[in-house]
Amino acid sequence: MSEAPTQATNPARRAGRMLLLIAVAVLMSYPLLWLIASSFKPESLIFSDPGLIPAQFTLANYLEGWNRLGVPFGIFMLNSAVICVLAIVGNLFSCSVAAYAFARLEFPFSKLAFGLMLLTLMLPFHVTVLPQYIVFQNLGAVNTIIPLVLPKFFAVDAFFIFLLVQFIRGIPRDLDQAAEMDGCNKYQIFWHIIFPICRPALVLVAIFTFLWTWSDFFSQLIYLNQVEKYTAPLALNLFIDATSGESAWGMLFAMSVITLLPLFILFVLFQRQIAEGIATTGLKG
Amino acid sequence: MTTFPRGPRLDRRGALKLSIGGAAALWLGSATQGFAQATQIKASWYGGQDTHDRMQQALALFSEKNPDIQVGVEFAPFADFYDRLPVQYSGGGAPDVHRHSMTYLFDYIERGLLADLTQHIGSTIDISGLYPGVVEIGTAGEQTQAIGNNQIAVALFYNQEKLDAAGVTGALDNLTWDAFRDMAIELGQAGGDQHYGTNDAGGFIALFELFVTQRGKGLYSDGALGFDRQDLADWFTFWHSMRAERGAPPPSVTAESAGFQNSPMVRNLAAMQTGWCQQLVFFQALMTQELGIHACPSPEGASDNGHLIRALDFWVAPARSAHVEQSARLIDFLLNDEEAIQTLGLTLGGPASDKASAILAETADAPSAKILNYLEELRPLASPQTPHWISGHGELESLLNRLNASVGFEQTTPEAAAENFFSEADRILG
Amino acid sequence: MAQDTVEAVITGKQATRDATAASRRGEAWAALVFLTPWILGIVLLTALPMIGSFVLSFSNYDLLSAPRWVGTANYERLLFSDPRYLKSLEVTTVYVLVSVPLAVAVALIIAVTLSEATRSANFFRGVYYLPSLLGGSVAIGVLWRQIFGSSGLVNISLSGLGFQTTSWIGDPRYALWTLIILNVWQFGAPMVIFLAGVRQIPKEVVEATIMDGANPVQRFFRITLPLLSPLILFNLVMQTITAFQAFVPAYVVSDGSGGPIDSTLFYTLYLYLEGFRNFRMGYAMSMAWVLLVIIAVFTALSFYASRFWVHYES
Repeated sequence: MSEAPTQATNPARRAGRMLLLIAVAVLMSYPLLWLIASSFKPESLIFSDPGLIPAQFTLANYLEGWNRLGVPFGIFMLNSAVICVLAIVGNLFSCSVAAYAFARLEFPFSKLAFGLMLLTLMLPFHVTVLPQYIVFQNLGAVNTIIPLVLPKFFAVDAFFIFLLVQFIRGIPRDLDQAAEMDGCNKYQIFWHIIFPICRPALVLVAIFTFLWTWSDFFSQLIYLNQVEKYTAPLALNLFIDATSGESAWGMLFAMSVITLLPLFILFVLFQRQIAEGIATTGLKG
Repeated sequence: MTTFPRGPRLDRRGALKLSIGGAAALWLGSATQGFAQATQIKASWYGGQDTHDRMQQALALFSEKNPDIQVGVEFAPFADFYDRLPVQYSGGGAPDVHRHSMTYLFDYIERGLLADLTQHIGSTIDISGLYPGVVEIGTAGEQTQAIGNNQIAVALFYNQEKLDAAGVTGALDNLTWDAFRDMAIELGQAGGDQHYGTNDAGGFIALFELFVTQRGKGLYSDGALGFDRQDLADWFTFWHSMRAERGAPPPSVTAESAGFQNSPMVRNLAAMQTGWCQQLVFFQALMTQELGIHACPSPEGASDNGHLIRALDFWVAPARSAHVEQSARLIDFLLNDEEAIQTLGLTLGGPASDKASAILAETADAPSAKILNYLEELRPLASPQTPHWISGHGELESLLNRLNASVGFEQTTPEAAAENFFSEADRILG
Repeated sequence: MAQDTVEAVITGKQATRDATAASRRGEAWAALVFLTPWILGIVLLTALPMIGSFVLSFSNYDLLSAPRWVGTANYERLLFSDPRYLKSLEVTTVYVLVSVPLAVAVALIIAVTLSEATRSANFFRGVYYLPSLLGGSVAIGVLWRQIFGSSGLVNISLSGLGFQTTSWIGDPRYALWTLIILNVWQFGAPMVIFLAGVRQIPKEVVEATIMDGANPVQRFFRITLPLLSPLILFNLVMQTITAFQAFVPAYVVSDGSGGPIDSTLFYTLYLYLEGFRNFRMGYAMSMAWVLLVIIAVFTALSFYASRFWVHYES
């Protein structure tokens, strides 16, 4: 669409660019291709047969891996999905309202509050997890998904607030002012102007929340104790135990591929939203 | 819900939802009523999927025989288990009974976190058949806070084919440390470039414990190190000389050999491997060539071979648990019930009693039989002591490993590394 | 409604802001309403644990028994007498300084190159994002061994070309660099953020410069770079914070040890080992607070410097 005419008229250059893109793509995806290839190899060949095309093709890793853990792997995926969806809803709501206040509204101590918000990003997770655990333990919420999703409704992911603040700051203020002239109050401006224009950024929030929650590990480990409540990453870890020598790498790879699949599909769907984002909001500069 | 018809009127779909919810509530209600008398306890352990399967089967048997106790289960791989456990203890949500490794056991015992099981021993937990070292290790003074769930020893695994090919099998008959080194170097040379005799076990603290036990000392005594700087310097020197002539791999190869499938023996880079005896099963599963098991090297002309046979993993109950009695019954069941022993097999380690040895011998497959034999033959030759590790052992274990690698990478000398170990140990055990 | 406002924007452009005291107060109230979830969250879920960890950083808290006050002993030890701590600081600093600028630069270049909504661009974006999907999964450890191990892909290629080989992940001189490559390899998140930013650049502006005869490189520097500068700042700051706190890559590649001989002992990995494995949570918490100060200084400097190169719409 916005393809520059100079490039379009130069087929040699386009071909060169395409080749480079393909080369980088192959290089970058080799580890994943190896992972996928290995998931179709029998366990004994995984580490001895380095090739990408399995010398011996088998579906056993998928069929056995799905039921190996006593609970069908789909349950773990479902557990992960529930947590992800709730986390997305929480983040979209709580982070966008907070970001709007930080980016657009004047209020006392706004600089201080913004600094505080950034500060919460800087403390390593491992040291706040324990006091939080004690709080949730006393609330009787351990071994439920509450500790994993409830915080999302209180804008604890400062990353997303900061991201949205940076986006909102990039939106021309003229828009707000014009709406104000029309008699819109701040709530209306947020809901009718800022929120829709932020759509590409909100899609980002949704994608990242999904990806990161889906592959989060430590907090899920300490809050979810029973295998029926395990999420996909916790379940994947069950395939490997360093002390017992139980190592079902083939099944681990097969289930890893299955776990990656929804991420990939969602990413492909959503990233087109981002790429098309601004075109569909009908905004003209 | 339906007695307050104040909200919007129920349409058919709403009514359906309600009745499903009601049915579920009814079902849940009756389900909990059925077990109204049962005490709920939570059991937890670490291990691989085989352990998880067998433990759950054993617990199902337990529930059948003890309808008054309902057991909820939690399990995870070793590393994940120990990420979660301290948080649970700290937050007050520790399981009522759980498996505990000696690596960390004394960190919990010394802080008074584990329940004293003494009053249940004899009455609820029958320990009469258990081997020495299974109960002793978790006993201090009047109190027993941990009861072993296995009995194991270190061992040397070897690739029979490679030993035969190099013509060194005979060296096993009188395996002194020097003979072991010569043999390893020969095997490395026989294998050709980038082949080695055995894995670098300089960081394997249980083997070092054997080494000092053979010198009449111990890893620990009275809460401090039980050996001298020179012992450790000798140990580092021994492994450095192994690496120098390809008796053991260089440290960069060792650095990437964590996990069974990456061990030099499995990758066909080495002919031997040291480890805990029950690991033979795991190594054998990853290899096509037949593996043998043998006692580790010992010094020339010693009265016993210094091997320690004892429990490495334990059953414990937290002091804060309200159900120590029920936990004790579960522990007894897992240790003594014939069906439980049969169900668990060797998944928790070697058998902890003669009874278990006999039951397991009946059904053992080839590698398992080798392990049982090994323990059987080792028992009369082994040291009669059952020393235990102490609080801080986990940290010392990784310190030993790191220093051995430092010597290997020539960042330090064996003497300086030994010195370093002692000063760090002072701080850690301080 | 939305259409009306867009009309209003176009017609009301020259309107100036005329803030009265009353409307400012209204604005402050609105801000309070908008910030309510965040305030509740920060007070209940973040601030209290943070204060707790700060207090405990002056104690010998071991996770398992009651803490005892030790004054500034933890801070003294980590600043003056813990060589492993200094090593972890060094490892982390190299990791941050090398991998963050690289990852952000690669992400920016790829995002701009692949900004069109064509099918092929979509495809490549998907492929380039793939590595980031893996995140810190356990499989990464194995994959990295397959590539950088002694018999990995890199060595197979190198020895094919006649070069000497070593185990890249097993050699303390190179192990950290394989983790830097891992971080750069996973540039998907900043790439997507840049992409969303590129799509926000008004087409008219781009078209105007094309009319002016600017070539793609000139356009990149004149239009794209300034307009993306808020997001460049964002990505740099966030990647820096994340890299300082990097834990999972070292954990999965070195099997939790930070080895060989501490060459990949990331700051938070050491913090975790001390806190959770060696039962020195008080010490770990003092490490966390020093890290917070380090990151805060870095961030403050970035924000200060950003005045000179970041361009906001206003």
